[in-house]
Amino acid sequence: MKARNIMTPNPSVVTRDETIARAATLMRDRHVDMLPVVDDLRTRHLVGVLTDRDIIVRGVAGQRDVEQPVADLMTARPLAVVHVDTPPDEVIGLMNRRQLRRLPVLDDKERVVGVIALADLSKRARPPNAHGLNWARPTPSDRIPAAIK
Amino acid sequence: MKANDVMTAPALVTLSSSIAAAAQAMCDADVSLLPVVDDIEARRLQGVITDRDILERCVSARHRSGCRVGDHMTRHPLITVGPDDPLDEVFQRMENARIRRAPVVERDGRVVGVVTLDHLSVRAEVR
Repeated sequence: MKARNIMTPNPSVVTRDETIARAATLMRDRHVDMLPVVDDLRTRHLVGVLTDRDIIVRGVAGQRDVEQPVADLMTARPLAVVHVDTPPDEVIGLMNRRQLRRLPVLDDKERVVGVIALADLSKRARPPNAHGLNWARPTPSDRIPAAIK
Repeated sequence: MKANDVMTAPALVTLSSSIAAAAQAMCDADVSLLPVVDDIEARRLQGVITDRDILERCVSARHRSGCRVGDHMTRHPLITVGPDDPLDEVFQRMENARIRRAPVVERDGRVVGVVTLDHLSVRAEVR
């Protein structure tokens, strides 16, 4: 099992010069909370990531205009990413160390080809209801149950 | 265990708070839901606002500054729990409503806390 088998392929992405409002609309319509930011929609080289929380904390709380470019609010460095061939336990380890629930997945040419979420890993990489809790939801990465660490 | 045992003291906003102030309060308290009250002293629940509400109803809609919490909060359905509700019931109500966070409200309508599934699951595991 590799990241490529678990990731959501062909993720929605934005470019640096698209507006915050456009990124928010994309997050709303696609039901996602993180967008990889790429240099160009054709080459899809990763230059940053933008989360819904970035928009709230840096954008709305910081009283930025919604027409400002994504580049102003995205996280550019250091970026946590995984390769399509990364095994799930390494993905979880990285999420745990960096306190992240979602990571972009890159191919050999460093193009963004997927997004992998902690929820995907716990859903597909361990038996359902492993803890006997039918309400189980993704937990913050610092509280990942030992069973999936 | 009851809701009282796992809830956290809530950061509150009022209907007339600015959306920017709500976002700042979410940032400061590291939370994504704020109970909305009529008055900070009286603390009577009027609705809730989440970071996602701000993203989807305010930023996506290209609203500029000037929006108030009352413009974008959720009034209905408002799922709440009581401080003395057993955790099993709290889980069930949140699961049925497909929500991750809920305000804890006294019988007289005063907000006294917030419960989240993350807190519930961690504390339930050590039960």
